[in-house]
Amino acid sequence: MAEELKKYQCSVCGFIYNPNYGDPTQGIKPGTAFEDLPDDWVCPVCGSSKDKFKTYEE
Amino acid sequence: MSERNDFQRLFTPIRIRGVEIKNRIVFLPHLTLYASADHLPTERDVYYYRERAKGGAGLIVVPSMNVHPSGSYLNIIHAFDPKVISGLKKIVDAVHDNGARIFGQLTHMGNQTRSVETFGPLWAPSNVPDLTVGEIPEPMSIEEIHILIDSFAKSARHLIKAGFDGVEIKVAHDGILGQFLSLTKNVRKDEYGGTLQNRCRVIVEILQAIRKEIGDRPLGVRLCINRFVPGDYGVDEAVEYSKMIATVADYISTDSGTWESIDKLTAPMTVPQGFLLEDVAKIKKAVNITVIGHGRIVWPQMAEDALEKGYCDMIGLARALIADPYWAKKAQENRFDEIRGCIGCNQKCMGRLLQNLPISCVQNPTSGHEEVYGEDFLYKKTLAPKKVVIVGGGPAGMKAADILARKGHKVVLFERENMLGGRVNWESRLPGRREVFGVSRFLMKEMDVQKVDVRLGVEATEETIKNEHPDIVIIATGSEIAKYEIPGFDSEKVFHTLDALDGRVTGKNVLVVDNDASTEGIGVVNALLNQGKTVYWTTPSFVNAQNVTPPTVMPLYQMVDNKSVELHPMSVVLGIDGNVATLLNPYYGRQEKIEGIDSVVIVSVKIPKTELFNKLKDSVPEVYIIGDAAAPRDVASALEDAVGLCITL
Repeated sequence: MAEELKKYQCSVCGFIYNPNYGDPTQGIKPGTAFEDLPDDWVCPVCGSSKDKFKTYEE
Repeated sequence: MSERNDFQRLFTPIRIRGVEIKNRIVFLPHLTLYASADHLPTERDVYYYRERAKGGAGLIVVPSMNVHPSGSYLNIIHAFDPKVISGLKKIVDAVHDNGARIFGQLTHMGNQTRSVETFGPLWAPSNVPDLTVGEIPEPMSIEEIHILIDSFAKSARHLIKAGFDGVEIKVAHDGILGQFLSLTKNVRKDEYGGTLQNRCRVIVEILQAIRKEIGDRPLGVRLCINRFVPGDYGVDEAVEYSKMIATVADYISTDSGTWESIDKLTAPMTVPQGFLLEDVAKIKKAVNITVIGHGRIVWPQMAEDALEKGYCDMIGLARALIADPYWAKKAQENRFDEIRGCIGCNQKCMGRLLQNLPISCVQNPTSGHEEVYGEDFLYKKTLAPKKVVIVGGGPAGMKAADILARKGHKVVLFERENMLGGRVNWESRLPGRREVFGVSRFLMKEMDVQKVDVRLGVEATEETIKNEHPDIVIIATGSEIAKYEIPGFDSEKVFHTLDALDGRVTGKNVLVVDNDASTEGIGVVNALLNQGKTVYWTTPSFVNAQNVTPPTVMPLYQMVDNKSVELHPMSVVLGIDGNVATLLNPYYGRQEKIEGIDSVVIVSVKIPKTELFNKLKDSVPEVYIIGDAAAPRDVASALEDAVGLCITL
């Protein structure tokens, strides 16, 4: 089994990017790693850029 | 674990003319229309402001209290009438009892009311109407200007008698004082028009008159710093106005837009969060009094950053605290990710205000109903905890789970998809609607915080539900798209909203049948246009997108503009023969033909999914049905259903 992809959290609004879900609002398919998101991807909730995200441990 | 955020600056106290405010969070004044028909404060007002004070805001400003009969508006408080003092005192006491400071804002509506409210011609600097009102006002005489100045001072006296900690005057998106500053509404040739100094004269004179009346107490101005109307003033002129205002006032609370640029007044989700902060910073740089920043600030981190960068001294929030009265408390306790962040939809705040209806909030249906549904009542702990099974993890199901878990019930939530969210997951894919996703971001977080037992990817059946031995079952299974036939047209060429979003619609020329003229219809049109289609946008409504509130619809219309689209309002599709569609305008009794139609997209014909409810209703002791499963509507209705039911359980 492949290594589980990491979750990332937006430091502004708390949105958690879960690779199992992808991001339906911007056409990101489930299974997409955070690192593979396009550079112009933004937080769907607050519009922050990717650099505002940090790894999220449950 | 979430990252630690201290928001140290946000929670540093500040003094305005000797009045200490415990933090930098201001609940900005905004019309609610909660006052009585005879212009007195109500219990609804008391509970509304009390909830925000309980939620930790440092300063609350009660909006738009009118200073003179000529400036009246429906359901606003008449500050000139001494009868309001006792009712205002109840608001003041409720706010003080919960640790916040409270200022009162005074205004006169000027050309932005109607003579049905004033029983006389409207007063204004000049005979220029507000384009959204359309009523020609009467230019004020010098004598009337003096009456206006005196009215502000007398009304300020009433506010102080009621116990307000400070007084603010409205020179903002509506009201006569904004009209004096306006380069388009004020065309006077006397000492109250012309130069910036002359335009600002009445404001300075009012501030001086109020200062005499209230003495050494905070006195401020809510100032529109950019009108965003062609030919009117922008931030550069506002900087000059601010310097004049700062000669008397103790603070400037920033504001933007007008009724004629309403998408900058309550900026919708298409406008970036914090969009006005650079303009705010220019005001801050120009004056040495307290500046309150504003402009779709939603999250404490953005607020903290604005303070750190020195853009402003305090943070003004209106919609953010309508959506979540406990915003400040959650930020202070480092629970920022539990904030129900405003999504800038405007549907039930400004949307209702523009219909002259009391405001509420899509995400927070309890807003304006705190007397019944405030946190003390909605989440009151149950004395008899029960096992509850909820089927459907869309907005209605998650909201019900959140409330019932907080009340102390044990909740299991079944969702057949692998992700919670329901209709939010496709609504947030419509162009310009991304932030709708915030609805489920908040509720998904709540499922964790309230320890709801969420079973993803499980299709709940009669058997799986009964195996849980629930005391209560709530069905929130949503709706499905109805099969819809167009007489004479190949059913394989008939598509729906999800087909449009997924790019499955065939052909170049698409007829959109927009049945409810909501955000779904204009979103589908924009999605199809983005795919290079030519769209014939029909709706039975009088206007396309009729049911989307102006501040939200303006940017969505701008997306449609200059693309290959024809609008066909007041149109019912009778059928399609070959590729020729026949439309009927039922009001004109006239038919119209459109040639070359390749495909059709049907918007918003949904049928409730009641199957599970019908199976369970006679075999489970308590079973309820809410949201689209009961009656397909919108996200707001789904959340309202959950609140309405769960307060009784």
